[in-house]
Amino acid sequence: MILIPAFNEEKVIGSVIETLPKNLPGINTIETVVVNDGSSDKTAQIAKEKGATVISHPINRGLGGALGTGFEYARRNNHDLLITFDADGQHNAENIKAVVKPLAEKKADVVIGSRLVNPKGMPWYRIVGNFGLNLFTFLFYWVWTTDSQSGFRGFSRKAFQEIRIASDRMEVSSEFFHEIGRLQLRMIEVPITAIYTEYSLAKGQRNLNAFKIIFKVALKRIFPK
Amino acid sequence: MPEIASIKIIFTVFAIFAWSRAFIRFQKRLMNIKELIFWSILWGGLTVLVFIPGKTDFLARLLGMKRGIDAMFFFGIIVLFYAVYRLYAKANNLEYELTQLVRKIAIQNTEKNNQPKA
Repeated sequence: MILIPAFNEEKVIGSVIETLPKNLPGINTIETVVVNDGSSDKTAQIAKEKGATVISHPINRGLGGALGTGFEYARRNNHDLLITFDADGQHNAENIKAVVKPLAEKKADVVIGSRLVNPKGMPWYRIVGNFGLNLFTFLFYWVWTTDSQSGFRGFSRKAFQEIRIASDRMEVSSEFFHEIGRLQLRMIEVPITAIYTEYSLAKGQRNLNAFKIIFKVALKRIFPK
Repeated sequence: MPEIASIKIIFTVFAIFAWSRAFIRFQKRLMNIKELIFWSILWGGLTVLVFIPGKTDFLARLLGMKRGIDAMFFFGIIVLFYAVYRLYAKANNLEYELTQLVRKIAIQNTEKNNQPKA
């Protein structure tokens, strides 16, 4: 199952869905699920026209909320693999094969598509910001990753069955690593190329958000629920 | 006429005001008699306490401070910190439950819409 959380992406969601592979080696069926996180534009309609299953949140809950819903859907529909993919066109569908491979071969439970193995095209301030967040992820969760903020991830059945997402917004990226550490999931990284357009850069995270994320995660660490 | 610190008067006025709000709620049936008694004892008790001289000196000595008022500030701030923490925890919990609710609705709608196809 390919999970695309989307909020007001009518401009690009159509082409993003179109670029997704229809077949993959070793995979029977591919269901593309778009979680429409309370969009006010035509994201849902366009996604539906392109053949995706659309789950619509009546109100916006954030990236974490949308991913959590996608995970729940995957569990209820007996899927074997789950790939998360961005709606804004930053991700390259050609990399899906590489992300799926270790999962299909049962070599890993979680695959992280990392943009920083080859950071070509990433603005320098993002490289610095990402490295900072990677360091922070390591300090808090004892899991090292070269791309803690990557939205391109793959999960085995065991992984998405057991991972519990409680974060609503963008700190969810860090929460995945918490779960990986907690559940002792086997994680590997696979290089991916990011497509930086004016649109996807504007939609991505700003470095300032990093402080907000660190604050929220630190608070959750000190006061769990 | 003995000198009364103005803050004691201000507090008394405030206590009367706060109690009157509780009383009004009681009259409007938004509060039951047990709660009214509780608030009456609380505000009445606090007002009496305010007029007792030297009541915080014991606390101040315990904490190693000079003035009773310092001890009150200290406790007041601690109480505030704790109250803010509890509020934050509650707000977080609400957000979580809201997402759970939205998720349930969203998935139910999707499953409902998918029925006819099968």
